[in-house]
Formats: sequence, C-alpha cells, structure tokens
Amino acid sequence: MSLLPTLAAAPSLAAGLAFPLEWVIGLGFALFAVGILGVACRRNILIMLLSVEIMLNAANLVLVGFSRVHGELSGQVFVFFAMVVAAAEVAVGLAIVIALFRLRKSTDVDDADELHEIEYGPVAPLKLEGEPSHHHDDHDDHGDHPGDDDGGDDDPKPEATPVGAAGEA
Amino acid sequence: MTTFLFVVFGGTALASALLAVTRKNPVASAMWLVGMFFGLAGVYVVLEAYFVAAVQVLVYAGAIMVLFLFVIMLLDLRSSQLDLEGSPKMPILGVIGAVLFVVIAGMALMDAHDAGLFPTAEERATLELDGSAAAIGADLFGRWLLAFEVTSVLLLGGIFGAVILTKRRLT
Repeated sequence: MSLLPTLAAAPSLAAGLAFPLEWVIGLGFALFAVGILGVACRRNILIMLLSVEIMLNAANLVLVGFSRVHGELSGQVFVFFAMVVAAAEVAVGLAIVIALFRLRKSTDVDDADELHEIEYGPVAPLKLEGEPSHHHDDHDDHGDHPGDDDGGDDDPKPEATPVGAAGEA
Repeated sequence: MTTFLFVVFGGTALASALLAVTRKNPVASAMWLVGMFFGLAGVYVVLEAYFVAAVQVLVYAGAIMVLFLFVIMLLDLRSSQLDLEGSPKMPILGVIGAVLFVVIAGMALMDAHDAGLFPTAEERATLELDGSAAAIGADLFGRWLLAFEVTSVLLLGGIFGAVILTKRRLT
C-alpha cells in the first residue's frame, strides 16, 4: 500500500483537535511578534524582508487554525491566495533590493534615506567595483553612515552644489 | 500524540524564527527561515491541512527561499557590510513594540477564552474537516474561481514589476 491512501484516510482516524485552539492562535501571535522585532530592530533590508515573511506566515497559521475549528475550507483557500501574494511581494521586493544595491552599494536601509537619485539618472549604467566613485568611498562604505550629507565635496556638477548648500543653511 | 507533535513543530518554528531575525549573516537567516517554514508545515499537518502543508514546503521553502538566496549571493556582500547597527534606540523601540503587541493580543485572546468563544474539549472532539487537495481544489475552482483568476493578473504584474525594476536600461 502506498503512502497516499494512508494520508487520505488520516482525518477519520484522528478525528477532532486534541489541543486547544488557543495554542495555535498564541503561536501565531508569538511568530508575529518575532516578525515585528525583525522589522523594527534590524537595519539589513534582506532580513527585514525575511521578517515580513515571518509575519505573513503567522497570519496564515491563524487562518488555518480558525478554518480547522469552524469546519470551513475557505480559510485554507485564503492561505493559498496569501502565499500567491507573498510570492509576488518577494519578487518585487527583491527587485527593489537589487535596484537599491546598485544605487547605494549597501543593504542598509539607513543609507537609503533619500528617495531621489544622488548623482545618476535612472538609466545610468552600473558602476563597477574598480572605477572611482564620486560620492561614496567604496572601501569605507560605513564610515559615512546616515548622518553626514554627501553634499558636493568633489561634485563635478556646479549646479548641484547650491541645492545642497541651501539645504544645509 | 498530536499535542506532542504540535509542541515540537511549533517550538521548532518559533525558535527558528527567533534565530532567523538575530543572525548577522543574511544567508544564515535564510537557512533558519527554511527551518521555520518546515516547522510550520508540520503544524499544518497536525491541523490536518495537508494541501496547505505541501504548498508551504513547495512555495515557501522551495521557491521563495531559493529566490532569497539567489539575491543574497548576487549582491556579493563583503563582511564589513554585514555589520549594520544603526541607532541603538531602534532595538529598544522594537522590543517595546513587540512586547506591547504580545500583551494586547494576549489580553484579547484571554478575553475571547473567558467569553467562551473558543470550542471546548467536547466540541473539539467532533471536528471534521477534509483538508486534502481534492477538497481544496473543488472549493478553489468553484466558489473562488474569480479570485483565482485575478491572482494570475497579480502574478503577471509582479513579473513585470520585477523585470522593469531590475533592468539597467529601460530603452
């Protein structure tokens, strides 16, 4: 006898739920809190995305728990839809991470505190490792962390400097 | 027996999640998250949601984690770039937020428990739900057919978004 018919027959063997539903909901709450911790405490954008996945999974767990207790299958169908949305979200989110890394050479969210481009247009080619960079020192990326502005130290464009100077004043 | 399995799988999921958010290296984080996905798949099996458990392993532990690992390897992070410690206030605020969430959600859970909103042990013993792929499929392609079709549009939008965002030249 293969494995599949055994699994299909399992619900009738183990009828009912042996432990309280509160445990399932509590586990979902705990996982959600871990996700909050990850998003709030970590500055690495990859780990923040992973924490969002943890929170989505916590919500899925609660949906499955309530679906089980109410004898209603649509909760599990919603979990399926939530997984589809999570897959799309991860694809777009990781694309944003790659675009951000090209622009800032960093996965630190504090380095992305400006929405606009610093010196390149959106169609500028990727800067390679060996080439000299204008605004960021590649060897010491984290010496100039969030606080100090890269306002025109050796900016070749003269028209960009008054904007930065006006912002400082 | 199912209680024991729930505790084992749930504890695995919770411990793996905690380890995943505390690792410094994103690759280690991703591997611990795979552990959390498998733990949750075990919980789904205990809850007799077999189709959801299978999809959890296939989609999350398979597709999504492979995508994550691909991107982490693609970014070519140096070890100096893994030391990301921002302002020391942020961890404190994060812990306060998480504790507040646990307290509020726990109080809501207690209230619902005291109000008798959760099924008692006798009611739980009579629960029957077929979480097999056949039952889910009948529901998915019956009641939720329109929603199912709309998700294909969402996935198409996600593909377009990912391609356009990562393209170097748009022309």
